[in-house]
Amino acid sequence: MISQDNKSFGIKGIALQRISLPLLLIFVCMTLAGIFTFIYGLNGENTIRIWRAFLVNYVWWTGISFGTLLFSALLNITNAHWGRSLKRLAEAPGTFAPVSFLLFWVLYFGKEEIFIWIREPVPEKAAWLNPGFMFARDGIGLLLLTIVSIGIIYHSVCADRKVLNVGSTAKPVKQDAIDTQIAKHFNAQKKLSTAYGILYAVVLSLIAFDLLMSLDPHWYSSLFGAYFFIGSFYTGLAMLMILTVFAVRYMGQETSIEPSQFHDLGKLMLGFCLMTGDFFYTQFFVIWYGNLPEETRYLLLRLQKSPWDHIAWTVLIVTFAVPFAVLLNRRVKMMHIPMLLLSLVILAGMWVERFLLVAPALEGGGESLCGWVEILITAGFFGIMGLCVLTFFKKYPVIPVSDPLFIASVEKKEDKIPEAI
Amino acid sequence: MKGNKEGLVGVFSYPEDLLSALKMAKKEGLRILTAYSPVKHEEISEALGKKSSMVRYFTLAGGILGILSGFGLGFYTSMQWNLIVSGKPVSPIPPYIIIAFEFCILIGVFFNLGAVLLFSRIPWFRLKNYYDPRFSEDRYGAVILCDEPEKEKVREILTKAGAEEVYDIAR
Repeated sequence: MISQDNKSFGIKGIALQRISLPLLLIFVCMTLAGIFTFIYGLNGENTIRIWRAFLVNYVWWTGISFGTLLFSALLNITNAHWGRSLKRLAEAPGTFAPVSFLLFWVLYFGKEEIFIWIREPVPEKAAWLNPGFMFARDGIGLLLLTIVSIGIIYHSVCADRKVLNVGSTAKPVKQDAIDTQIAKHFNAQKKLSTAYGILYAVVLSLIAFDLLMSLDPHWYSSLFGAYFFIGSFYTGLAMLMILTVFAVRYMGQETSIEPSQFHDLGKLMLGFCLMTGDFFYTQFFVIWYGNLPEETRYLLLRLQKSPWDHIAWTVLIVTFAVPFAVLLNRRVKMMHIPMLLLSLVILAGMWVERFLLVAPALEGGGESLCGWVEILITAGFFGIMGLCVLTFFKKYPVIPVSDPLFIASVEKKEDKIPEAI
Repeated sequence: MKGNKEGLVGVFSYPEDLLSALKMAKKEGLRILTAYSPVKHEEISEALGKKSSMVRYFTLAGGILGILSGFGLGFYTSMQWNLIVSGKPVSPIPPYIIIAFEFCILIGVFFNLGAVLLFSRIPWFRLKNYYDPRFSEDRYGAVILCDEPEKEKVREILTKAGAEEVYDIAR
C-alpha cells in the first residue's frame, strides 16, 4: 500500500531538480553579498547601521523560521488532518534554526554598540540586564528550541525515508517493521511538538525582551514577548503560503494541495493578522490610557516623530489594514498569485515593523534609513534561508508520505469519491 | 402534496452516501429538488450547485453600520459634556475603537440573524409532506424528481449509494 501511495502523492519533485541549480547559484551569491557587506561595513565608519541591519534581519528571519515550523507542530499537537500535505513545507524553513543559533553569537561581538545598557548600565535592572546572563539565557533557550526543531524535522523525514527505501534495497523489509517504525517516529514528533509549542512562546518572548525591548532599557511592556511571537507566527504563515504556491506551481504538487487548503491557510492568516493587530492595540491602549512619561516616550518617538511616524502608518496599513481587507474575500484566498503577492507584502511589512522596533532606539533621528546596506544584508539572510530550504527539498519529499494522518486524509478523500462515478 | 411534483426521497445515515447519491443523480441528468442535513455541510451545498446566499452582505452592512454607530455614540456623548479628562482630548479615537468593535459585532449579528430569518422564510408554518423529521435529528435526505417510468432507476441509484429507506414524494 505504501509504495502505491508514494506514486499517487507525486513525490518525484522533477521540477525542483530542474530549477535548483540556477537557484542555488543565486542563493550562494546573495549569501556572499550579505557576508561581504557585513564584514566590509564593520570596517567602515557607520558600524551601528550594520549592526542595526543585522539585528533587524536576525529577529525577522528567526521569527519566520520558528513561526513556520510552529504550523507543523500545531498540526501534530491537534491531530489535524486538513493541513497535512503542507506539513513538510512548514518544516523546510525550520532548517534555518541551527543557523539562527550560530548567528545569535555574532551579536556578541557587537553587544556594546547595540545595547545601550552595556555602555550606560541601569543599576536597578543590572541583575537581569548584564551581558553574561543575557547571552547565557538566550543562548540556552535558542539551543533548546533548535534541538527540538531539528528533532521534529528529523523524526518527520526519517519515517519518510524508511517508506521510500521500500523496494529500493535488495533486502526485503517486513511491512509490520516499517509500520512500527512509522508509529515510533510519529509519537516522537507529537511529544516534541508539545514541547516546541511551549518553548516557542518562552524563547521567542525572551528574544523579544532581550534583543528588542532592552534596546530602550527604561521602557517596558509585559505583552511585548507575546506580541513578538504572535507576529512571528503571522510571518511564518505568510512564508508557508509562499512555499505552498511554489509547491503547487513548480514542485508538481497541484493534485496533493487543494484549493480548500489554500482557503484554510488564508483563514488562519486572517486570524493571526487580527491577533497581531489586537496585541499591538492592547499594548498601545494601556500606554495611551496610563499616560506615564516613561512609557509614552517609546510610542511618541515612533508614532509622532518624523521619519518614524510615516513608517509606523505604513506598517499599520501594510501588515493590518490591507491583509484584513483582502483576506475577507473567500475567493481570493484560493487564488495563487494574489495570495503570493499578499504574503510578500505582509513579510515586507513585518520587516519594516521590526525595523521600527530597532532603528529609533539605535538612531533616534533617523539619519540613515534603508539603503544598500540593509538590502544586501537582508539578501544575505535570504540567501542562507534559501539554501536551507533548497537543500532540504532536494533531499526529502515535498509531501509527508509516511505521516499516518496524511495517509488517513488521502484515504478519506478517496472514500468520498464513489467508485460508481 | 399539492402540485404535480413526482419523485422519490432517499434517507441516508451518512453524509458521504448522500453526496454519492447526489453526484450519481447529477451524472444521470436527474433533477434534484433539494437535500436535507441536520447540520451545515458545505459539500452538500456544492453538490446541489447552490449559489452563495446574500446573508453575508447583510452581515457586512450591519458590521459597518455598527462601527459608525460605535464611533458616533462615543463622539456624540463626549461632545455633550465637553470635558478634558487626564490631559486627553475631549473626543479621543483610541478608546472608541473598543466601542466601535463591540457595536460592529452586535449590529452585525442582528443583521445576520435578521437576514437568515428573511432568506430562510422562517417561521414555516407548514412543512412539505415529503419532509421527514429525522432530517433534523440524525439522518440525511435527497429529494429527486422523476416520472413514474424513471422511478425504478432512481430507486436503484439511491439504494446503491447507501439509502436505508426510499419513499415516494407523494406519500
